[in-house]
This record gives sequence, structure tokens and C-alpha cells, in this order.
Amino acid sequence: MKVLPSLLTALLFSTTLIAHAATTAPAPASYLKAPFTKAQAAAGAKTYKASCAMCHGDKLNNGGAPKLAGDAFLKKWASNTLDDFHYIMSTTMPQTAPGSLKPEQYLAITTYILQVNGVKPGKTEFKAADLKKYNFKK
Amino acid sequence: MKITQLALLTALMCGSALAVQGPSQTDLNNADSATDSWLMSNKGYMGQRYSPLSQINASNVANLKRVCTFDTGDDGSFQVTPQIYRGVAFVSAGNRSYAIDATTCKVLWKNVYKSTGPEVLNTTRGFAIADGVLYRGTGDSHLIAIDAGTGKTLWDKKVNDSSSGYFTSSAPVAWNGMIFIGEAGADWGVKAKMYAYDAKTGTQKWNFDMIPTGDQAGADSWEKADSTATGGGSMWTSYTMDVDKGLIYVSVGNPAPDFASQYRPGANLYTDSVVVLDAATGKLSHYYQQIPNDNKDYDTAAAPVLYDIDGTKHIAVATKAGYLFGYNESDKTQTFKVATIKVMNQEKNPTAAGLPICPNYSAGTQWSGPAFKPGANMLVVNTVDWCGTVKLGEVRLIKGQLFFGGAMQLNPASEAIGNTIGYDGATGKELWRYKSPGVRIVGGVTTTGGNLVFSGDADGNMYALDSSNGKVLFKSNIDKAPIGGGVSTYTVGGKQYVAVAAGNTSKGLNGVKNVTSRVAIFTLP
Repeated sequence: MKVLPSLLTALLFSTTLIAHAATTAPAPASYLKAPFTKAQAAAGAKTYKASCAMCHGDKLNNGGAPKLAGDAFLKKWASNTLDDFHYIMSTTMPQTAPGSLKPEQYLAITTYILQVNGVKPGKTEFKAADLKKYNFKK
Repeated sequence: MKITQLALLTALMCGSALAVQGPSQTDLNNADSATDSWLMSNKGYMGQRYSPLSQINASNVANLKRVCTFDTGDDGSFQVTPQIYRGVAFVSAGNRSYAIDATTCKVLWKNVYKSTGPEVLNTTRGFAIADGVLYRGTGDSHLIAIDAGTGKTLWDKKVNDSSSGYFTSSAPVAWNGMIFIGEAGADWGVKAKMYAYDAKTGTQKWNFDMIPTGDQAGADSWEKADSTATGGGSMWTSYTMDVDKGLIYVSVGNPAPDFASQYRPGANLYTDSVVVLDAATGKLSHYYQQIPNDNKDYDTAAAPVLYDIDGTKHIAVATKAGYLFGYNESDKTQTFKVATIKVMNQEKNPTAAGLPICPNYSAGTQWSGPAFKPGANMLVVNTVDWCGTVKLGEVRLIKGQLFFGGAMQLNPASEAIGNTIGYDGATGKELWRYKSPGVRIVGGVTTTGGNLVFSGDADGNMYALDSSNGKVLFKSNIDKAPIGGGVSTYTVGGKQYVAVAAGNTSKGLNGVKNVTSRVAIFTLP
């Protein structure tokens, strides 16, 4: 009988821990707070121009292909993380050779898109591990 | 005030007098053999894309001259065939619809649709036309009705939720007061349906689930019932009808996720199939599935063609997998299955490392199906020979986004070979082949009583072939605008014209500078 309460306590405790872990996992922050450097965005712009601009346009929303900048873009992705966006981009683009760019190029394009959507570069590089930390909410 | 009212009345009366009244159901029933019109995306209900006209023929086609060009100014995809009624050409490009004079290219009116939902893809493949009204789909999954005389929108109905990936790219078909249209969006994880709407009111009359569930016939072809929620089954292009029997033939595209077939074990009906429905009720008559449990995005996308051989009705359908299928409609048997291009590894499953395959998902026969030449019993098919590599990947559903479960890499576009091929409609035997190495051929193909085959390639060349042997008799470049639409031919005032829709087929694939979409009209001097 004594064991049972302790087991129950342990179970409750562990459940509490799990629940605690689940509820305290940091909620994604706004994309406006995502860190990246000027150099990363510049590299992204270069790759974008070579591999993406032909369909998405030089302003990221004027090429006929899905818009990558502006209110319509932000609204469309509002409930998603940067990781979701990065997953779609890196597995479906460029159209003729999806997944063919280097991982750092896909990351750099992501930062360029953030920059065009109003995010200021800073001194901290954007890393793959950051993708799940931010969403497209303002 | 009286003067103003009188002027308004006069204007309305004048407008009424100028209003477009037809085409009637009788006109539509005769559309396959008509010479002064091109009423449907594929000309008539049978989808033969054949005009009996012969003023322009194998002996004089080399003299064709361009008489005018209508530039839409839009560089989005342009995949329509100009549809002609009473000397007016109707074309749609993105959200815009136009009426232009079919001999001078003068714009008569322009209608601009304003989306109310997110646009998944604003590709449009044209209109249904009936009783003075045009009907078309939209990038945000609506069906709209437009006054053919004025361009004014008459009604606008939401078909489905575009934020979940649904849109309506196909050219609807009108029949007996109903408008038929289905949904596209399989690659975004939709669960598609075919619909009939009342032509006058836009009220839905019936719908048919292309992904059956519960106690619906075919539901057991989805061994994991949950996977039907994102099962796919797009209707991309247009529809074919046997008006004698009241049947509508519907090409249905790939299952989703495109490459991860382990996610959805079973035959996955009615994906990659031609589904035949009772047009009055929407009940299933029969179906032919081309690929069960597809894992390479090999849609049956282009509409089938219905034709008669020795008193027996047949259909033929060409697929993205690079095959042409023939079926005998009297005994519902397959009469032939022929590869139109190189095919490789289609029976193997994609791997994470990558499986080389032929064709890739942007090759084979895309949105333009076979034409038929009566008398010669000949089918003519456009198809692209082009390989690639399919890779299995993560299955992650993000609402409204592509739901591939992997990726397809295409070999260099310079390796693509466009083909226009003549086949015996009874046996599937190849009769002749026109090839364009390095240049894709994805536009519509048209046959005529002048022993000609008209089509165009992705470098902007419109060409006419001798239908008896496939030899080039005429070629004209449409300002480097890739030809993704089709060629229609018709008479105005007794004179035969040829109109071609040239523009963007797909920016990522063209490898050429973007050229705005345009209609070019030709005739003999």
C-alpha cells in the first residue's frame, strides 16, 4: 500500500513533468525577431536572383509564381513556422531541381525573404536550429 | 430627366439588341463538326479538335500570313485554345477574360476577376459557352458566369476553400442547362470532387467524390481510410461528352502525397483514371484506371477524345506517364496501351537516394490531349520525352502548401524532346512522328479537313504538318512566346482563319525570356 502511493506520486510527478515540458516548450517568436546577418541576406539575394527571380519576380511578389513578400505572403504563412516554409522551399524548389541548392543557400534565401519582408539584419547568424523558433506572425 | 431616361432606355435596348444569344444546345451538339466556330476548349463535346475546313490545306498552308496579334500584357501561364463564336474569340489568361474580334484582334471587352481567397494557381484553360454566357474557373476555386456580349460578371460561386489548396483551372463544359467543372489541387493535398451547377443560377445540382470513402464504391481501394482526407485526384483541363448517352468523361489526376505511396496503400480510386458519369445525375457509369497507387505524379490530366470506328465508340487518353491508352466503349475493354516516349523504372518505388525515371512529371502528355482525324481514323498526340529522378522524402502536410512526400528532379531541359505523333485510332500503331530535340511540345494539337495538323512548341514556333506523313509544311515563330495553348481554326465571312495562343507555359521550365501572352491570327493573303 505504501508502494502504491509512491508509484502514483511518481506517475503523477512524471506526468506533471511531461506536461510541464510540453507547456513550457518555447512558443515560436515572431519572424520580426529572427536573427540573421547582412552577409547572409546578401548571399540569399544572389542565389534568389539566379534561381528564383525568374518565376517569383525581382520584388519577390511580381513574377506570377506564389508571392514571397508582402501582406498576402505573410497572411498565407501566418500560422506556420519558418521551418514549414523552409521545408516547402527546400523540397520543391527550384522547380526543375528541387533540393539541389546547398543547405546554407536555402537558409540564406530564407533570410533574404525575411529582410525583404521588413526584418533588419544584425550581428547574429541565422542557423538551421532557428527555423522552428520563429513563425510568420507579427 | 426625360432625355436621360430616354437615352438610358435607348442604350439598354441597343445593348439588348447586341446581346449574344447563343450558342444553343443544338449549336453545342454540332460543335465537333462546325466550321464557323470553336465552341469548347477541345472544340466540341467529343474533344476531337478537328475542323472539316479545307480552304487552308497542304498545298497552300506555306502562304499563311499573320494578320494581327493581341498581346494580353500578362506573362503568367497561357494554356487556352482561342474559343470562337460569331466572329469573336474568347480567351482567358490568369484572372482576365477577353473578347476580341477574331479577324482583327480588336479588344471588344475585358473582364477582371478579383479573388476573394488565396490563389493556389491561377492557370485557366478556358470557358464553357452557352446561351450568351461564358463560364470559367478561378485560382481561388470559384465558378463565374460572364455575359458574352458585355463582359459583365453575372454570378460568382465559391466551389471550395482555396486556403486548403483547391482551385478550378479546367475549362467547364455546358450541357442542357448545366455547367460541369471539377477541382484541381491534388498536389496540395485536396480531396477533389466533380460538380454540376445550374447555368442560370449557379446552384449546385450534383457532386461526385473522386476520392470515395465510407460505403461509396471504390472506398476499399484506400486501405488506410485516413489517407483519403488528402487523397488528391485533380481535374485539370476539360471534359468530354457522349451526348447521345448523356455521359461525361472526366480525366482524374494523381493521388497525394505524390511520391509517398506507402502513406496511402491500395489502388487509390479514382486517381489516374478516366471516370465516366451520368451527366444528368452525377452517378458513376464506369471507369478506366491507368495507374493504381501512382507514386510519380503521373496524372491522367488531359481530357480523353471520343471517336467512332466502324460504328463503335472508342476513347483514347494520353497521360503524363507517356502512354496513350485506347478503350472500346461498347465492351469497356482496353484496346491498346502504347508508350509515346521512352519509359523507364515506372514499376519501381521511389527511394530516399533517388530513382532515375522516364518521363519526369513535367513530361509525357501534360494538359493537351489527343486530337482525332475522322476518315483517316487517326489520333494525333503531343508528348515530351524527358527523364528525371524521383526521391522519397518527409510527408508533412502544411495546409494549402504542396504535399509531395518527396521531390522530383528534372534532367537538363536541353535533353527534352518534343513530339507530335500520328497513331492508328483502332490499333495504336504509330504512323508518323515529328520530333523537336531540345524543345518541348505541350500545346494543343488540331487536325483539319485540309490534311493538316497544327500545333506549336516551347520555342514559340507554330507549325503545320502534313497529316499523312508528319512533314513540316509551315512554321512561324510567335515572337518567341512559348506555345502552351492551342490552335483553333474557323471561318468569318466565309474566309478561314487560324488563331494560336502563345505565351508562358511554365517559367521555371521555359529557359527563355518571359514573353507576354498573346493571340496571333493567320489567314491566306
